[in-house]
Amino acid sequence: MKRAFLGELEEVVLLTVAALQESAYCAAITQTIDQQMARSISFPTVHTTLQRLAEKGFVSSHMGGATPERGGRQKRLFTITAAGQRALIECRQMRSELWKQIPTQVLQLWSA
Amino acid sequence: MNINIRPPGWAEWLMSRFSPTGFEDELQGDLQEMYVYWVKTIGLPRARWRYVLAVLQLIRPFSWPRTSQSNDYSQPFFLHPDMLRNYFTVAWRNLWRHKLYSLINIGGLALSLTSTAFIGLWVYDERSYDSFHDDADRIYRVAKDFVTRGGMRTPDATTPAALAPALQAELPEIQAVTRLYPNWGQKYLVKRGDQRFYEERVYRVDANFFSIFSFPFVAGNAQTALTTPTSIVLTESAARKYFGDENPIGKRLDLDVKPGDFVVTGVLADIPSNAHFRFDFLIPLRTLDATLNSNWKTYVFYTYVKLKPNANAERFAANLQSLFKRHQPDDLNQFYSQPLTQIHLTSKLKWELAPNGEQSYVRILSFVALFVLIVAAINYINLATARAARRAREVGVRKVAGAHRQSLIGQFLGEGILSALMAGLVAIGLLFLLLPVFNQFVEKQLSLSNQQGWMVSLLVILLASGTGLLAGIYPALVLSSYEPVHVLKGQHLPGSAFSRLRQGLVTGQFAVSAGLIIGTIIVTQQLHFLRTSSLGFDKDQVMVLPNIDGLTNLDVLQQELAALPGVAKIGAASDAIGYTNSTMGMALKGTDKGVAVNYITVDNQGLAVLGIQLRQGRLFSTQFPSDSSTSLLVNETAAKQLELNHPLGSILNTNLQGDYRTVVGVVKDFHYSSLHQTIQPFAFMLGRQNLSNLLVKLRSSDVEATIEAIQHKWEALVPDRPFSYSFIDERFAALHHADTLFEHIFTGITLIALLIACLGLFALATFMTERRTKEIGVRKVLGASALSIVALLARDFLQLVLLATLLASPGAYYFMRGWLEGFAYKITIEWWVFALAGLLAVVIALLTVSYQSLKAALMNPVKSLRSE
Repeated sequence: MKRAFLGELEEVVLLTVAALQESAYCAAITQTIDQQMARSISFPTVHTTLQRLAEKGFVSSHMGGATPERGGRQKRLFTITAAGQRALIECRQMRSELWKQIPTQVLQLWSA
Repeated sequence: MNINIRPPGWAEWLMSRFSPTGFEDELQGDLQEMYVYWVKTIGLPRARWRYVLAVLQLIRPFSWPRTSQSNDYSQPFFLHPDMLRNYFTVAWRNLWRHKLYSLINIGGLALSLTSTAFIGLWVYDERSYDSFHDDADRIYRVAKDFVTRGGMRTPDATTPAALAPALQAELPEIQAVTRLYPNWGQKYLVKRGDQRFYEERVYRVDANFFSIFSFPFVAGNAQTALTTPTSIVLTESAARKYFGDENPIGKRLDLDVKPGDFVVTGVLADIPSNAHFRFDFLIPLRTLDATLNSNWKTYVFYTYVKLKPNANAERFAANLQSLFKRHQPDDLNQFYSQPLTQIHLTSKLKWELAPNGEQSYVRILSFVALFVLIVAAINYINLATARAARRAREVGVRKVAGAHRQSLIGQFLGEGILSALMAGLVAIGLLFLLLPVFNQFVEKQLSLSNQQGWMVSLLVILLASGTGLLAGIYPALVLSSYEPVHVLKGQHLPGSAFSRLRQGLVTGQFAVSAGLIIGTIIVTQQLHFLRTSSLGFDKDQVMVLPNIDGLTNLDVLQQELAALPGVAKIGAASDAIGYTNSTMGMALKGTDKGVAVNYITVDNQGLAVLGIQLRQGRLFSTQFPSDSSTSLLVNETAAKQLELNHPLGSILNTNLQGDYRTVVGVVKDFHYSSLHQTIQPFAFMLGRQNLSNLLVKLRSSDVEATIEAIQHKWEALVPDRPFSYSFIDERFAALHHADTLFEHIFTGITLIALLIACLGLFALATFMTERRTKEIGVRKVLGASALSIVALLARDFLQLVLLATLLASPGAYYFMRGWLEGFAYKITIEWWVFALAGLLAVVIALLTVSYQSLKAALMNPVKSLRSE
């Protein structure tokens, strides 16, 4: 079966959506990535990535949570879908498979 | 909220106006939060910078969905770049998939555009004669009808010398008058140092020649060019011949006319090929006789007049005649004026300075060019529509995908125009490539390097796109109207619906072809008639040696030449037959009814050399020494028109001034000029004066050696005159040169038209046969023979071709009769010409169609029925 491919950026964004739970909207996601990963991803890029994830069916969204900081405008709040969850899990499994294939001695050498 | 953390106003405004649809709220809110965050983390200036960048990336035209799938089902604008690219792709695939059709279609159109453009250039050139002069519309030539007392008129371009001064003095509407005296067959020996050439194109003109004619000067100027009696003006190529690269102005040139020593005062650009007279040298007229200005009797000058800007041309013509009457009350000649620009095509007077063109040729060829264009356009339209019918499915799919009717119309029109434009470009390329060949073919110097080239190219492009538009209209309107449901289900596959239109077009096309075939047959017949009909005298292998007038050792020369083994007979004459002859008014003694009679003077052997046949009486003979002063031979027409009931012994007043001569013989009528003209009265006189041409009849064996021997003798006996010769039969061929040229052009264009029509028919037959593959398969399964299937397929076309021939016949008859009107001696158009043309058209059509029909008929039905 062909899996929907998850790009690195998509994976990061999707993970952030999952981590932020109920309060995952574009600005918050961008800031979180900015702070926690110390890596500057531009806001429009995150926006586009979220669109793409929505098209692939990995996230769903609904409107809500207008606050005065944002001039009373609504947020688009994203939640991860079952497909999104599966994709993340598969991603992690694949990586740990690869991790496991690295001989223990080598790993010990690295940590040393 | 702090005012400092407001993002840049214009960016905010942009965001509010152009955020992508569906995301207005969230994006503006998110951006505001982000701005605050950025200001906190990276400082105000960089925050503002990031904000602007983000806005620019998010607002609409830049945020086209980058992913393959989009939720946007709105319709793209039909001229959107993506749509245009799609149109081009589809058009190109269509052209490429049907290579044969495309080749025939575009190639045929290009071919016809090329030939039409060539004929157009030719016609334009023929009609542009003399229009390069400034104020050409105000310049006229004075001509006259030579009228005898018997009322006979001979239109003639010559005028007396006294006319010009009288016109200048007496008619106020005239701005300038000038006279021109051509060489009248004389050759001038022009010398510079050791360079000596005989020159024919030396004209003598009045000093004000350049106030009427604006031939451009390369050196010198119009005001001072001809002011002194020793001035000479020459053309650039003549100057190069004598002076090489030197500057000729002020240099001397020696001519064998008074005053002999001339000084070059001007150099003209070479005379354009579309001038009705052309020359290499101009010398002043005043070197001729001083009593010129009062001579009303000798008609050897050409008079050109430039009227004042608002003068009335008709009044001028009337004044002209009354002025002549005032000066010469007894003279019957009728004077009139001819517009300069119309001389080349419409004048055709006696003594034209150069052969005229033929108005009827220009007209016929214009029509033919138009027809060829029509044939190709029909072809193009026919094939384009036939092929478009196969695209019904494409239309269906496009409509289902949301295409508007307008966009489909635009697509088909654009496609038609584009592929026609390809043909136009090919045509222009061919035009420039083949121009030298065409120039050689029609013996003109047409050029495309100037403004004319641009005009022609533009015209070709316009014609091409017009054709493309016409070809596009039909599919555009019809195809775009199909219901997608029908075409996609294959119920309503169009094709038969417009077969009637196509039949009409094919008929029209073959009507043109059949008409051209008829024309070609008639032209060929007439030209064959011209070439083979007996002229009434022996024109073959008669060599003419000019320049013998005044030779002291003429008798010796004659004897020496006659002794050569290759020479059969030798004689002398004042003029050779085949050139324009002098005319005199003659009348029977006792009457004053004058008849204009052409005459030449011959010696005793001259008529024998020419093989002139005697009807009654005798030829000139040495046995009758008085012949030279008292005898005359006339032709049958002269005898009839002079009303000589018993011609032999009749006494004629041969110049209406009292030179009486007795008719001693009547010769059979013979053609002394082209067969365009009826045989006019003609007379021979005997004399030793004015004999300027030797006529040498050669034996047929080894002509070249004989000519060499003659040249040897000539150079030994007449060392001071250059040796030159011509042949009478060549001269007659030259008289019909324009006709031969017309035959070639006409045949050429007919072949092209036929080729194009056949290409069209071939492609159409291919298409029709393809459409009927299944039907043919079923017929074969049910037992039809191959022959019956060929007949079935060919029948339609043959009916059309026959109908076309019927339609074309009357038109072709009308045009070709008009053309034959220009010949005094001509063939009659017979019915079998039309039958033959019809037969030819049928055979050609059959050959074209049969390949496809046979292929279809011999095909195994298993193949055609298997696929579904």
